[in-house]
Amino acid sequence: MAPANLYPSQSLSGPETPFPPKVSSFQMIPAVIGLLYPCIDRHLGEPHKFKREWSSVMRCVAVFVGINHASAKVDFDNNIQLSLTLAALSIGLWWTFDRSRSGFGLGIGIAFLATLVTQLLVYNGVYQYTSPDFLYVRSWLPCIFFAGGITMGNIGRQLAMYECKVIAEKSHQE
Amino acid sequence: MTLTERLREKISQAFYNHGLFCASYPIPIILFTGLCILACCYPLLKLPLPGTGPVEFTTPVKDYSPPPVASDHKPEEPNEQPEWYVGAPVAYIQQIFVKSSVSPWHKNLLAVDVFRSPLSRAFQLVEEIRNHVLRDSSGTRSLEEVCLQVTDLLPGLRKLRNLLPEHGCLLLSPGNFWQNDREHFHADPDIIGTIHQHEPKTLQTSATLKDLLFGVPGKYSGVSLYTRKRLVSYTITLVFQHYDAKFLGSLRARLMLLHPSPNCSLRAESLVHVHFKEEIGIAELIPLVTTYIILFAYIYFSTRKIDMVKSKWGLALAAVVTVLSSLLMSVGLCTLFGLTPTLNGGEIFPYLVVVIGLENVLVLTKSVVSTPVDLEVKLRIAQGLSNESWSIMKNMATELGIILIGYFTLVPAIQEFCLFAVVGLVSDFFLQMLFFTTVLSIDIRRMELADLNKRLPPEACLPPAKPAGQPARFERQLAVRPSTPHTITLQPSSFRNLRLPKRLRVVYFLARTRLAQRLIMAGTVVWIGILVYTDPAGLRTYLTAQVTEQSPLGEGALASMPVPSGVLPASHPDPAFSIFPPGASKLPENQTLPGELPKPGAPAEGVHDSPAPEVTWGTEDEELWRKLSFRHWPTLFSYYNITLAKRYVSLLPVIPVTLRLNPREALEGRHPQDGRSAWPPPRPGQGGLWEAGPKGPGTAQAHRDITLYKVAALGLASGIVLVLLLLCLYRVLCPRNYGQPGSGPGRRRRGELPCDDYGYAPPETEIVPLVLRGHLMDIECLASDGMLLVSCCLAGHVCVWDAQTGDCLTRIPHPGRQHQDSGVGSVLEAQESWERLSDGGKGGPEEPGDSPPLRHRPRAPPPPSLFGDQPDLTCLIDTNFSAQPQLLEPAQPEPRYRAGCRRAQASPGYDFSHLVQRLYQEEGMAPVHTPALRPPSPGPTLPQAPEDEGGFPPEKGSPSLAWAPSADGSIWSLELQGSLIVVGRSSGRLEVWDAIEGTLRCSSEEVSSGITALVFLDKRIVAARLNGSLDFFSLETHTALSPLQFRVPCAHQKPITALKAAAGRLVTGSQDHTLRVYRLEDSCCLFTLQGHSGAITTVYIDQTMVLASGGQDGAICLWDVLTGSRVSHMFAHRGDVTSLTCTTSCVISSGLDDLISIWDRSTGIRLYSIQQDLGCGASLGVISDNLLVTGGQGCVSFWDLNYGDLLQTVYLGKNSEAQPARQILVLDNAAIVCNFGSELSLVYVPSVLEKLD
Repeated sequence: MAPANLYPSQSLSGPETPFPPKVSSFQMIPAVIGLLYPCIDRHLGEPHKFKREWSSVMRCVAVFVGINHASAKVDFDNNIQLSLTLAALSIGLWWTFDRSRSGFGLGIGIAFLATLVTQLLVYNGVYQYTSPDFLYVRSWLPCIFFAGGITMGNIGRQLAMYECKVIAEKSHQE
Repeated sequence: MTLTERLREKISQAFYNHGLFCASYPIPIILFTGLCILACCYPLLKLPLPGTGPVEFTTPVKDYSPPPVASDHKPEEPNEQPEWYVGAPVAYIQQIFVKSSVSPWHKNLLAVDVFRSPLSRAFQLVEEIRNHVLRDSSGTRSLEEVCLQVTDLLPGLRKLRNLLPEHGCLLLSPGNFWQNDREHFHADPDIIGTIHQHEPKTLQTSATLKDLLFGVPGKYSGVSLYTRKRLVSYTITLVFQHYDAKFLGSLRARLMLLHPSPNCSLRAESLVHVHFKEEIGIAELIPLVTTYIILFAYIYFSTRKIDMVKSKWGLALAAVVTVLSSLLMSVGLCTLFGLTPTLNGGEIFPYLVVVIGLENVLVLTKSVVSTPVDLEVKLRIAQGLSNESWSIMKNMATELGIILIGYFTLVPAIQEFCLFAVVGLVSDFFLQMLFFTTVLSIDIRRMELADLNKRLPPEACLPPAKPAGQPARFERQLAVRPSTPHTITLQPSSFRNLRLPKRLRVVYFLARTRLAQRLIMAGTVVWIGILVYTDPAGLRTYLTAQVTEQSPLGEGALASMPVPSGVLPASHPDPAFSIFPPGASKLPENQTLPGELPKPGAPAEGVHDSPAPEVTWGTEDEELWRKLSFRHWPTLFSYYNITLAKRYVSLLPVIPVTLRLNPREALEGRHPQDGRSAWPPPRPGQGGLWEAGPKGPGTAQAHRDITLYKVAALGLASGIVLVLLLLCLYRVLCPRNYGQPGSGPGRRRRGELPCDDYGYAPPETEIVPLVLRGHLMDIECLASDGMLLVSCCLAGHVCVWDAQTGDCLTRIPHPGRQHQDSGVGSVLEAQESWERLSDGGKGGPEEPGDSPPLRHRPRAPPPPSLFGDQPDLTCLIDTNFSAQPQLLEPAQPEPRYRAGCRRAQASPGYDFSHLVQRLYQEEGMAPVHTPALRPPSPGPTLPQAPEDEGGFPPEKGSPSLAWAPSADGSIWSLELQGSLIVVGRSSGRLEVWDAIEGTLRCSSEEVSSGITALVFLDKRIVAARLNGSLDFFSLETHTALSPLQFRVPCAHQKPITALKAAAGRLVTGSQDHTLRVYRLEDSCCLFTLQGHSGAITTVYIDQTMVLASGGQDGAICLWDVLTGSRVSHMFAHRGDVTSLTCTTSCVISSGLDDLISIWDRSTGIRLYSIQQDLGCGASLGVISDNLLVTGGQGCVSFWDLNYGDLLQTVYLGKNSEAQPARQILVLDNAAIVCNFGSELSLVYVPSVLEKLD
């Protein structure tokens, strides 16, 4: 799956990157997320209809990269401002490109789980935060994870749709 | 809500008016928009170009002190000092600029003397500098204390270890080439070789070692054999850590004292600080590159969706231009209003593009394209705009809102981004409305013209339903329709894009343009050019020398430029040049410069050479370092792992040093090899040094030259070989283009080769089809079950052919007679005699002499006088024949009447009274002949034949007896299954024949209404009659036709014209505009389908229960057989739809307008259409799911159904006056039967096409 190598590099470009670059097993996570979204869509029986185009997906990816970029480059006055801005941007991303309840729920879940995992890793001393600011958690982390989840889901859905179409065409021909 | 509605209404109206306006005055609007863009971009000119070039700042030397480190901003002088001018610089660089010449010049001096002794003085200078010590009240200070101490070189630079200083002062001079050892220098026979040994061979971009050590650009150094200015300049570069004004002053004073420069006008007043930008590393580039890749992917995916326009690329370009220029406008406007961008433009640019987006543009295009095509362009644009106005405005409001929220985050960077985005959005909207809409209107207008040109039918008998307001100038263009027979009009739709085989396209493109060869040739030329240019002995040196000689901007100008008089102190007259520094040498031959010129032996020198080298110092020498690469200092410092990124260095004013050497010193400093070395003394009589150089090249020079030539020749040869190799590869890969058959001159027009949308004309081949001859008149009905092929001609003959071999198995010549005789013996007898004859019929081309009587017959053209007035009708057999019974009925009986009556007179005595029911049947009654008459021997009836047939040549009329239509009426429909032929006659008689034996198995003759269509499916026979009734029979055994099972007496009010059965359903189409669906087993009527506004002409149903129907109204309807609902409705043709076929994804229809249209089955969108030859409109067949075959004038063409590509055209036979293929029947083994008049052609699909399946 193509987007697999995109995610770690982007999460590394966040402020005070928590992961050393050698983490390779985490590259599987976005692929899993990308698969998860269409599965849940199918499970819920409500196919995702909103803006199903590659150009929209590209736009989504670009915005996600932009959020990462901004959080890394722009210096905010304090962490609350950073967190609020990021949260607003993430929600905006979801509203612009997804607008599905399942997407929102899954995004929240992913953000929660990923933050938890990161936290566990930090407690076990594998990684270190430079400075935890909010309840021992870097507050930007969930926002980035949320946006990343939405983006990966978008890509996954698009790919799944393509696959479905190809399969349907093939079965049609037979 | 009413407010919203009203607002919506208003916006829609405004957009409508705007669209009208834009489409009315396209050119002025585009011009106006262009002016707007330019005006808004004008402030951008003031902005510095983005880049990593260094920035300079100049301060006076006097009272200079390093700027304070602290960030205590002094608000009082914000304009003078740049932001980076804080803290001490990385280093102070002091350049000691040495200009040296041997003077006066002796004619027996060698070229190498120009620079050998001047360079040797560098060692002395370096010594002096190193040993300089400042002694003053505060103590002594040596160079070591103030200079920049460097440590190791970077590990990667081991080979430069001997050349660059390590562990000590950073002091660079040309002497470093010889490890600062004078002995090394004197022992070096090849100075130039030493200097150039580290020069890169390729094009150099950054500072080279030579530049670093010489400190001046290479061409100013004068260390070259061919320079005509015998002036050598180099610098000794000294790098200080601290600024010590006293030390520097004393050094300057001492050097000036030791080596005075008499006419030096350098003012040494200012200190230049050079700030270097941050260098972009690979790691920082990765996110940027990623962003840009995403941006391009976004643009690609967006513009890919533009379709149904004339020029897709043009519109995509316009869209991108819209977005880009709106961004430029926003930056320009922001600059205009005093907002200087502080953000890195390259970084935020992709995000801005993404935020602004291409969506609106695409939405506009789609909306305009989807408006009705027959409207005027203006109205289409206006409608499209107003349709999308609400969503555009809503989107824009949403985006502005989001950006506004972003503005209130109060983070400066985000605020600035938002500001840009807002201005960008507004200007983008402006451009969309004015620029893009106008471009779109132009494009749509172009497409409309092209589209109309293509779509008009040849006769223009059906004028297009144009609105009255259509401009009159379109009319003229309509008339000149291109008459190429096979142009396929492809509409660039998304369907095509999805399925395009890119590989094939690319290969075709390469094949057409021969791109590969051209690229390789160009590459070879460029490569050779680079080789020639960069070779040390090659073109570059030559060019340099030329430039030096001729250009006033070259080195000559630099050295010999007269010093401006204002700069020169008045007390320095010209003779002052002769005043030599006192400490330089004893100067025995001390001569003034003016005295040199009249010296004998050098008369020509004065003419050709420049004046004797005068060491002058001008203002341009002050900052010669500017001519160095701007990477010069960063490169130097990076060798010691010191980065200059975001820091600055200060360049101290240069210290000029003039060295004047006399010839004796030059001679003393010579290397023993120099005398007999490669370089002869410059012969003054030969016009200077440059001319002398190439004329007498030494061994090294010659060697180099030969190497150059060798390399060039090798490159040329390898290039040629490469080109040839690729040519061969190309031929191997695309042999079809070259495989043109060398046919005779009698070929058909080459100019009208069919070609597809991309200008690629596929190869045409010619195969000899298996021609099945035996019919005397035009073939009407064809049926096949894969193994056998049954055909029936107008004369009533039925022939059974082996579909594999083309053998004629059976002929049923006189159905009427058998009915009368009902004697089996005579039938067999007749059969025998006819089988003997027909042997030759199959092999016309192979063994023409086999049966002489038949030789004439195949050549016989179809009787033109009989049917010339109805060329179309015979070709529309199964469908049109029955679809237009009214037309046929009056047309056909008439000739028969003539033939029949006369014959009846000629051979009276036949009983034909029992079948008289209808007028034409009565007339069509045939005389019964004895078998003996049947062979084509001249008989007593012959003389009548020519008259009978209306001017038929007598010798060809021999078989005329056999033409007589059957007494039972002509055959109207034919079906074949297994070995049984079911024949429906105009008399209403249904007959079942054994195809192999040629015997009549059974017949049914209950109703007299003619059978217009037949279905024979699984032992069940359904006959549709002219009176609208349907008869269901079932065949119990092979011989017994059960009595009528069901009869639907009044299935339709009018004649049934189409009948098809599949999947247990039977579909009838009638002239009463309706279709009916019956269950096959019990003849229960399930649905009556209404939807056509004309008589049904053709019906298609397949196993997947998809039903398609076409009617005289030119419409095609797709129905769902399970529910009886209409799925889609398409207006397909002008005139009747003549046949319909479906594949899994497409519907293929043909019409009386000779167009074959291919539709997407699920959406009902026309994918493309194929223009057919006149009269071949209905000849099409589907071989597989993606292979379509169509007939043409003497040829059949194969098309890739999915892409609309013409794959191959197969010409049948070499006849120049080929007949049109009127009907095509596809057999199971992929042979195609075409009906050419009275002949059948059995074509096996070419092997190329088999691969596709």
